[in-house]
Amino acid sequence: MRKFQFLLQAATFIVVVAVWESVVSEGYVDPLFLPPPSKIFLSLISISPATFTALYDTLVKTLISFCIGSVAGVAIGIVVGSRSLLHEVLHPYVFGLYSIPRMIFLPLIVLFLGIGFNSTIFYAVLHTILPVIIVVVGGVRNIDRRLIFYAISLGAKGRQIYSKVIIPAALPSILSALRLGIIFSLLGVLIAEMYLSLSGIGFLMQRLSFAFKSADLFAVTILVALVAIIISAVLGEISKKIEERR
Amino acid sequence: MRLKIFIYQLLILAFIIILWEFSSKAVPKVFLAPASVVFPLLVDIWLTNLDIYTHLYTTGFEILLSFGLATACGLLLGFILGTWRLLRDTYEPILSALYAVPSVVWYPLLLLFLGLDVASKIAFAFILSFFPITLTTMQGVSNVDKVLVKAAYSMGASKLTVFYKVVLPASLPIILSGISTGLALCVTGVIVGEMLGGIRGLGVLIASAATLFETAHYFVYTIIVIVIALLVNQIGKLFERLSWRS
Repeated sequence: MRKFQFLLQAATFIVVVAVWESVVSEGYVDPLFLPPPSKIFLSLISISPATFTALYDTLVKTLISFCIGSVAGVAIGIVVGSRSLLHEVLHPYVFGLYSIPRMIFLPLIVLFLGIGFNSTIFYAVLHTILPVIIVVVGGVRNIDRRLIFYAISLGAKGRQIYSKVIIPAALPSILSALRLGIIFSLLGVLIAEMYLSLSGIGFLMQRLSFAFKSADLFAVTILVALVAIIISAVLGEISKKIEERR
Repeated sequence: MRLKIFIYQLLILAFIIILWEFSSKAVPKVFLAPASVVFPLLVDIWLTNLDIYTHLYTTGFEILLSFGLATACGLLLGFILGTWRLLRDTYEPILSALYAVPSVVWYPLLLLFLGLDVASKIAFAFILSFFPITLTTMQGVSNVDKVLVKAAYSMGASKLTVFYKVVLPASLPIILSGISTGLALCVTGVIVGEMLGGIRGLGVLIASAATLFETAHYFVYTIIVIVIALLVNQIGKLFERLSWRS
């Protein structure tokens, strides 16, 4: 059955590429805008080292903002989730901030921190921290209350309740928050780079777009998409392993 | 308790506005515009500057059109994949993988294909909201209790009746939550798209006000976008609540 699905997936891919190639070569669309797959493949295998440098730059920024944003987000999420009053009071603010397009704050951040590294990191942290907080708060609040009562009745003190009951019980949601967080920080870094920056893959893509280098742009887009898919797949496997071990 | 929470929330809001007012007095005018300048300007722009309505119209049009298209396509594909096991097993991995890609990756390509005007924003917002709508519809439909479906068939219901009377009502809450997510993402998509490069719309106004260092105007447009986003979010929540009642 799995083999059959794989064949079907491969067949779909081949049909799409074939139709695309023929549509372009028959002249229905301008190859300036939509390059044929053969040309994209050629650009894909001849991606310049500068592109990889830019990609590395972006990934480093993503990792930094992910570390800051996820550590802060998980900590805030655990504290807010475990205190009812705090949660009730902050809930509309967190959700409100989450539901507005955060990019509208980017110009202000750039104004304060300047173009480049600092503003990109700040924006990506802002981008990461909110979904992480929301997922972790949800996870902490879903913990079976009885577990905490048992721990207290067995004599657990404040810190122990967190480290022995709340955090282990909320681990699945913390893991999924982290998985979400890395995609959100990559998204944040890319948006900030595309909006205003001087380095990184987002900057490069925006420049390729304005220079009408469509085949190169396609190649870079495919590269970044693949990197994102691989990152989220690897993290998915890791969290599955951690959950199995518990 | 309710009152206490509400008072705390008001206090936070008051604290933010006071902090905003005083910190903007402390830094140069370029960085922050005080609340006492921004709100009068907001009223002034709203009443005297008719230009704002054309931008508002453009942004609203983009949001509605992209949301309509994404909902139509997402529901159709979601129902097909949800009822057809083989297609679901084949294409779900592909859709999930594409959903994991940071959406803004596609934007430079869209900008190149569709130009700086409204089409590229509509396409970008479409991509953003199409995936969650499709995936949640698919999950909602495929998770309908098989016993219910079998029971309806055994009582002599036709395929169409089963779909209308059993599958649709049973999966409606999940589908509507997907649609509500999609609606919020349409707003984000349109604003992000406009800010990254456009001719008309609120996002363009924000970006250009920031570039020209017209900080007070930037704040005014930001507030308008925040209000729109929160309103749309409330509409989405209304959708969800409606389904639970029925």
